Amino acid sequence: MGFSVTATHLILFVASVAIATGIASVASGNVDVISSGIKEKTKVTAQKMRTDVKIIHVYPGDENTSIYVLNTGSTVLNPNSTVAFVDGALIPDPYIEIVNRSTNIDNDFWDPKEVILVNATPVGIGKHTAKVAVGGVIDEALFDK
Amino acid sequence: MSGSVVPSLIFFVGSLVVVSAFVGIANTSITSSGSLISSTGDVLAKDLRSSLDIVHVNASSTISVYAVNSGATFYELNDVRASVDGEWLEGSVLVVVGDGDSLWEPGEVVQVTNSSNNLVQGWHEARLLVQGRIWSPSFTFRR
Repeated sequence: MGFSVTATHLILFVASVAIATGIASVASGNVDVISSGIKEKTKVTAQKMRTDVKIIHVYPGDENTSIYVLNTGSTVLNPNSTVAFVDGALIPDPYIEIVNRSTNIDNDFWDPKEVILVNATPVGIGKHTAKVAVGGVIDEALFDK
Repeated sequence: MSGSVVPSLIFFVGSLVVVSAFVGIANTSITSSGSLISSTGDVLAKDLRSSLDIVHVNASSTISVYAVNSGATFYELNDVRASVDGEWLEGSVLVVVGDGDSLWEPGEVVQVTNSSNNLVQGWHEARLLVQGRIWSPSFTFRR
């Protein structure tokens, strides 16, 4: 009687360990994948919250409409990922230049507190709108010519 | 005494066989469910890494929806669709700010264009859908 009870317990114990190991390995791998996804989402959301740009001036010249945009956030941006619209129309392949550097480092990055110049085609006399967007952050300004 | 040991041994071996079969079936079931759960987890993780934002809608003679990939995932342009007021735009999708290949990469901007514009004057709502399940937040604009 003693042997059969022990043997039954041993069999059930080994069986439960085998099943629990299977479940744990599946759950563990899955938790790792979802955990890395949540980390990435948090990083993307935090970066978006730290990103901000502001149109500080629009100069409606005869040859170009010059839009000056300040990086008012705390993230380093790629100026070439800036998309600009004048009066709702996309400016295709705009000329973009970093005109006011916050550091002496001459690189291609749009650092915080730096200003870029986006040149668009000239506009006619009257009221107009300029809009820029970088990484999901938008700013819009009205200007007169 | 030996008369009681033999049935016990038979029951022991029998129970061992039954439990082994049960564990085998249970583990096969766990493994197959695990691969299903794992692929669901991969999809969920990919969705978590995704972020789309409509930045502008130009509704003149045509409708053009501009959106930025603000997440960390690449998409095929064929997987990108846009809707305005619940109606799908039927037109081209192209990368307007990016490296020019056929993928919509993080930081790049796509333009989804409808060949006509039947929108009435007033406020409208645009949304972007990628891979049939990832939606952008709605973007309201005025025509």
